[in-house]
Amino acid sequence: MLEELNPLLHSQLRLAVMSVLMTVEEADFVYLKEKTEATAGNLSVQLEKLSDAGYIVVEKTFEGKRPRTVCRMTPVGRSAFEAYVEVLKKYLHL
Amino acid sequence: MEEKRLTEKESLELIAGMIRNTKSKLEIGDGNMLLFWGYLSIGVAFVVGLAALLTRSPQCNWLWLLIPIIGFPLMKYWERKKKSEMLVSTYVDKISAGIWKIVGGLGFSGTLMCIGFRLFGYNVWQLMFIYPFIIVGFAGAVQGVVIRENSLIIGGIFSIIAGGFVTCCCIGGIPLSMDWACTLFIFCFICMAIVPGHIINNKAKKQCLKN
Repeated sequence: MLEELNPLLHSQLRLAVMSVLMTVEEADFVYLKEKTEATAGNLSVQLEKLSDAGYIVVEKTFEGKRPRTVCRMTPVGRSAFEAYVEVLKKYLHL
Repeated sequence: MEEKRLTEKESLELIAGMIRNTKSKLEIGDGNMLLFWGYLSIGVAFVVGLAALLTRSPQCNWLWLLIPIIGFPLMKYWERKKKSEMLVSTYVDKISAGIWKIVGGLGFSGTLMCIGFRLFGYNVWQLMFIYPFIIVGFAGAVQGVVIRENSLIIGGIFSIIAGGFVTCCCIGGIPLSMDWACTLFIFCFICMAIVPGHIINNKAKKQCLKN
């Protein structure tokens, strides 16, 4: 019996965000929006879900007078992502 | 992109696609910082060399301080500006920033040490002449390994070797005459900063056009 895929990661936008964050140290909200081609509202909601699960850290700061949101993957998120890929490989017999 | 459920195959394709796409954009480097320090150091070396030639006074060596005096405030301003414009930061960026922070810290502490010795009547400014050859050269070579840029590795190693030569001269009591020492300094900065800086920027431009 195959293990169930992590439902939190098994969604297009959340998986895309996690994939980007796996490659970089940290990414700005604008960068993630551009990469995932998502709407700001939808992206905010998904980031919050990932943050609530402890997979990412969302830092809201100010750069001068401009607000800035920076996202970073946590070790928990990294492990969850790696586990997700492992299960995925089993599904696809890789 | 919507929040839709994916098949297993689509998931794997999405992960591979996002990673590939992000990585290809991040391969673009930035040689501007190298060029800034390179041209500044060469400019100051030229001024020191010229001043020494005209006045024959050892006091000209104080002009070397123009490098940190001009360089650090400008670099801080530039870094702050760049940080606000940067949308993404990689592990390589973090390592590179760390390397150059250590180099800056060593340069600053070395300068303080030389000033301290000078106050007690000892002249150890030769230390600060060796510093750019060995410490900056080593940092350049490490940076070259991190960003996989051979010209930076070669330039850095050449500078370390030149630093070894200058150190031997100092230990052996061979006077560091401004004519050859300044020329060697300028040549090293051309090898470890100017040439790699232009190569990196050129590669970045090509990468931009490709994307």
